[in-house]
Amino acid sequence: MTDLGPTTVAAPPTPSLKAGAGASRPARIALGVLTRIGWLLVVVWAAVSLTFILSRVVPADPARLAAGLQAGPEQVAEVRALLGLDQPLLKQYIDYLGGIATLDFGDSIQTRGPVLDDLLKALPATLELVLVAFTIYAIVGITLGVLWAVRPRGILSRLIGFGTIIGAAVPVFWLGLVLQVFLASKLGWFPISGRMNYNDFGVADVTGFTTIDALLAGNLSAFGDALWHLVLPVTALVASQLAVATRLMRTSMAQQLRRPYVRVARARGSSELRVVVVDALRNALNPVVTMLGMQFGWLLAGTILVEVVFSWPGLGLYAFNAFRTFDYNPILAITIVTTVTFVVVNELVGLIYPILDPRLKEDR
Amino acid sequence: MSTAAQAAAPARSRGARRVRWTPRRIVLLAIGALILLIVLFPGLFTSDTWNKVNVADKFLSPSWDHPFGTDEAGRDILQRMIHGARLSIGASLAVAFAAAAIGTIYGAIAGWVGGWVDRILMRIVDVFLAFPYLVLAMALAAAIGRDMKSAIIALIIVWWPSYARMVRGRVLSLKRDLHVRAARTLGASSAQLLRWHVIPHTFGEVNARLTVDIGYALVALTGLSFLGLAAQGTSPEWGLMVSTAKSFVLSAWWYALFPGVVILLTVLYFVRVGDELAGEES
Repeated sequence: MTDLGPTTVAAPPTPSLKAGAGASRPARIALGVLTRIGWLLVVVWAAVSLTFILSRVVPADPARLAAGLQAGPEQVAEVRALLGLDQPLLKQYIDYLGGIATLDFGDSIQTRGPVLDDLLKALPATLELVLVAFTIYAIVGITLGVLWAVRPRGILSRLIGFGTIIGAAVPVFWLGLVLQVFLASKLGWFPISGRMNYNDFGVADVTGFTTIDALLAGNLSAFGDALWHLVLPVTALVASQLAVATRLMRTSMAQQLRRPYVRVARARGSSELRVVVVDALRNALNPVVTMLGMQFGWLLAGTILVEVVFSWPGLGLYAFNAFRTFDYNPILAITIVTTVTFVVVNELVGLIYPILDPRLKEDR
Repeated sequence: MSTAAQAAAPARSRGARRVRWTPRRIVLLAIGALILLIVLFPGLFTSDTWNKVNVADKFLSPSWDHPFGTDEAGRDILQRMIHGARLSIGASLAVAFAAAAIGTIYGAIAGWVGGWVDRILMRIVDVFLAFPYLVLAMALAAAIGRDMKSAIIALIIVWWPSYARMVRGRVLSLKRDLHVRAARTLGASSAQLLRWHVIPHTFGEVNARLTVDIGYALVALTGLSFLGLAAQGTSPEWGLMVSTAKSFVLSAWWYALFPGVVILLTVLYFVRVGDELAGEES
């Protein structure tokens, strides 16, 4: 096993590893990791530079923008000096990069504190929502995709097919509103908005994750309430993305099921369940895992709409409020943080992919 | 003999491609004509007073006179939606067409020139693909102003790379095709080859993708409007209507319901037509 063939990965940023074609396997992997890290830095730099251009070059008067709507002329002048907006652009750019590198995103006008503190406070809420949604999304998407591939012409498959089309076309903010009106308001089955209230249950805020904190406190009714608040936002978030995973899983699974090894396994007398779940699924999962990584980033960005509908106090709602009040630093910070997270997750998936597929090659 | 004829044939021999008019396609075409009519001449379908405030009629539930009910100012929601179609669908068309045009030209050049130029151009595409569109649109709207224009620009910025990648892949294989080599032998320049013998062959795929994307652009755009990043004020843009309706959702369920249903159906329509085009292609 010296020649492993061309080492390409299906993830979108596809660094070429040709340079190390003759090297040993560990060296090639190391080179691949380095290429990816280098690539990551380029994208982060691009994101930061873009926000710089958007905040300092595009607007007619950046100081006015940064100072906020209510600021008077003296305050604008103060902000101009404080942010160094009277300096040459190049110097501003270097200072800006320096600030971001030390995680200094400036202060928020709205909360009057450092943006970084606000972000850290809002992060657990968003992560909790996205992680739960992502887990359910992956499990449901893979299951439905497999069912669809196994019985392509059954009634269930038709339903799944129809459901994915609707799911992809439905505006997530509207779906959220509909769930809110009918399931929460009219039927009263779920809370209308927000998260579990720490004070109501006397649970200490340790991690910022309501479910984990409730469990840490051993308070089951609090845990139930935390889950209850998650149901509708998670449903909206999952429904809007489900089509992607389901369709890809179906295609990938259908491809595997047509392969000779599946026929061999069936001929050998393996049960259908074993053929599908043990033999085919493992191979069929590869492209799906890559895509799931990218979807995680999308969920993170797409959560803005859901958070706004359900008043979920995470990064999205924070960004939305910052936006409404023309609070500029938080918007920039969130652009950077979300983009960087998005790219990092994609890259991590790119790194996991060769591990999942030991042949380390693209054969489809 | 047949290959020679193929090589000499123009990029698209229109006669050879006869569309089969199944009943489903006729229905789709009729709906398309209706949408076009609504977008171009909304006045044909509404009364002149469609935007007039009439507080006496506020929050009337759906009835024969007001199929979608009325809003907080007593205006007919259906009539407002008909006038909003121009904004919502028009902007989605703009996003999809501009993204497709930019992406096609960019991708064609990358695929045609190849080598390090291609590698650099595609790396730039990767950078653009790395941005989540909602976040980019927010930053952009904050910088250049929150209106339809900046929302459209933001969506074009995040949408064109996918076309660039698709067209590049297609051009890479097309440029080795016999008809391209034949045209080159006949003395066609690179620009002529691209214009007449390569890019037209990507149109099939691009058109199918573009049609579906009109639908998805509508979802994205109404989402931006919902967040207050696109249409403003009393505009009858569909996403903005849902956003306004959010405040009245508990008392007037129809106000948020119908605009959403119409968005959903419109998206489904474009996805369906796109699938039809893609099927025709393959």
